[in-house]
Amino acid sequence: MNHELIGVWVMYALTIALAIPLGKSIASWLKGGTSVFNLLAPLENLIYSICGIHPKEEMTWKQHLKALLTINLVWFVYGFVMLLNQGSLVGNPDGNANQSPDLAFNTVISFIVNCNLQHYSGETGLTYFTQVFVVAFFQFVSAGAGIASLFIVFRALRNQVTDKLGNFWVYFVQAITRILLPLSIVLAIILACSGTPTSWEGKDHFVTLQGDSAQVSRGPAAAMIAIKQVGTNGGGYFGVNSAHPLENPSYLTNIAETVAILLVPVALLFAFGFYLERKKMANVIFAVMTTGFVILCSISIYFEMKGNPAIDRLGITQSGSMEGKETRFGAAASAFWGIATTATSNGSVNAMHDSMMPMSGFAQITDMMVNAFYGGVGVGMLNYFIFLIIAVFISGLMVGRTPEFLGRKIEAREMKIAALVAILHPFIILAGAALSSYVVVHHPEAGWAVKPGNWLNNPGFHGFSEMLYEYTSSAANNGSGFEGLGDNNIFWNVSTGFVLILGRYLPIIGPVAIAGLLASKKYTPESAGSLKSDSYTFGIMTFAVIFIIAALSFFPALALGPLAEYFSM
Amino acid sequence: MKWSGTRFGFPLETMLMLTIALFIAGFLCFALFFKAVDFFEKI
Repeated sequence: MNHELIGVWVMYALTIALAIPLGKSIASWLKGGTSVFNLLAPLENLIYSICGIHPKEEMTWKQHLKALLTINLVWFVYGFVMLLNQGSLVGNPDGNANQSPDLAFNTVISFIVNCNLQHYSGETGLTYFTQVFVVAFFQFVSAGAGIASLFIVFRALRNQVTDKLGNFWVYFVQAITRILLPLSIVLAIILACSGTPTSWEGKDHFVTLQGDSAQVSRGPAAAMIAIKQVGTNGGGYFGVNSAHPLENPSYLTNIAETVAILLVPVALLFAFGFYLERKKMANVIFAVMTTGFVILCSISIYFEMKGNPAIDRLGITQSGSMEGKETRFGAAASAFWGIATTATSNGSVNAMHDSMMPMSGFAQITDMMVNAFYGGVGVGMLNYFIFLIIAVFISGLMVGRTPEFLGRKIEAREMKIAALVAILHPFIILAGAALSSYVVVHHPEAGWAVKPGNWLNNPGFHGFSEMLYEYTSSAANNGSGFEGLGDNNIFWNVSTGFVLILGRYLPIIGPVAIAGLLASKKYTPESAGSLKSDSYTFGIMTFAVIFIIAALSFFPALALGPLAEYFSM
Repeated sequence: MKWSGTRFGFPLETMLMLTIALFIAGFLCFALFFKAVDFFEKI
């Protein structure tokens, strides 16, 4: 087998090997059992006492959501004020400027929603203070909030009728202290030992071999890069993210970062099975997600390793399509990262997605449109839960049985919420892409600070893909970009800001509401007459639901962008 | 006051108004989400 493909298999196998014990440990502590995580209880108790949290106080699903929204509103205000005034604050040895209001709006929303869409370059757009106390802080807490939301659903799906679903603040603190912090420390040490900067000094100056004077940005990079991967945040310390030689120095760090991207989302899936003692159901969900992931990976790796046909026609030998890629990673590992990062709503990049083959762009955009093949930490499972509810309802109608999930009836209210959440995602993507396309085509010379006619570096199909990718990435809270798009202007900062915020909270509120409503319903043990939601047949049904919803909603847009580009090459 | 990005030419008043407008917009979005929690209970 090609050694590049062996590298890909090693990364995936390592992820699964680590995810299973991690998932088991998470389930063990959630059930109140003994686990190594209990060693962190004194630290957590200290946080509870400082913050006035009463860990024994149980909350209803509405109280959980209101706690989540309240703390996010506080973060919004804090981040917005800090970014607007960062130039005047401490920790700014390079003298970077304040962010403009529209850029600060976009940046703060992007980071509180765990997206990390960056319309600035990390080296010059932020100071050390805002990198650490705004951006890296949000990378921890936004990921913690996503995991806490999933824990509410876990608790609601247990075999008992209740409206008490644990304490949001406890889930939130434990998600950070027991999952995100330990894993980030391990990854940060690997990165720091591999050459990633961990310094508070300003830019370094050196003279190159040919006598030029050059500056190299430094800062507390290793710690931030670790949580950016572990928390599926994706926001890079340096402008070119993990393609930068100091952000991802070697193939070894590339393996570590790729595993970190996938680890927590996959582990939470296994934790679901261990916690509810429904391993078969977790296996079926894993099989569905993995099938989608492998199909999209195969498409991207095949086309990247095959190379660019335009270069073939010139008679030039190529080892894969290497435009926009790092030679230390190669075509296959870059393609694998591209799918891993879009599948998990991570959004970090180790190669420029804009330069990848059109079919890779198709796979990456599709990954974000589905947004449930593993998905982001916590929220990936919540997105899948919506598809699951729809699949249960349709299957029930097809076979003439009452739609039931884990012993609870799925009724009109749950279906209305699931349908609203399922429709919201394509709506905000397609409405945004339509609006931007209209402005580019009909008002290219509008007298704005950046004329719409100058937004796109590429005309035609690829230009449309760049705009479609930007809104898809925002709605999926992914954060990666086709960087040919000139996006640091008021139109893009504000419009993607709204897409980001709508794409985060309603898809959390919906599944938590459904789970909370189900938890208060009468529990009927499953019998021979119940629809088996843990069979592989039902898994195929769920996959079909995902495929049909994605295909019906997005195929026309994909046909105008990456597919049209592929057939025109 | 220095502003990063591409709009250096805008006067300070415009930037302040934009700041306030976006601040309010963020609050309104969160108000919508709080409403959505109650709405989903009664839908």
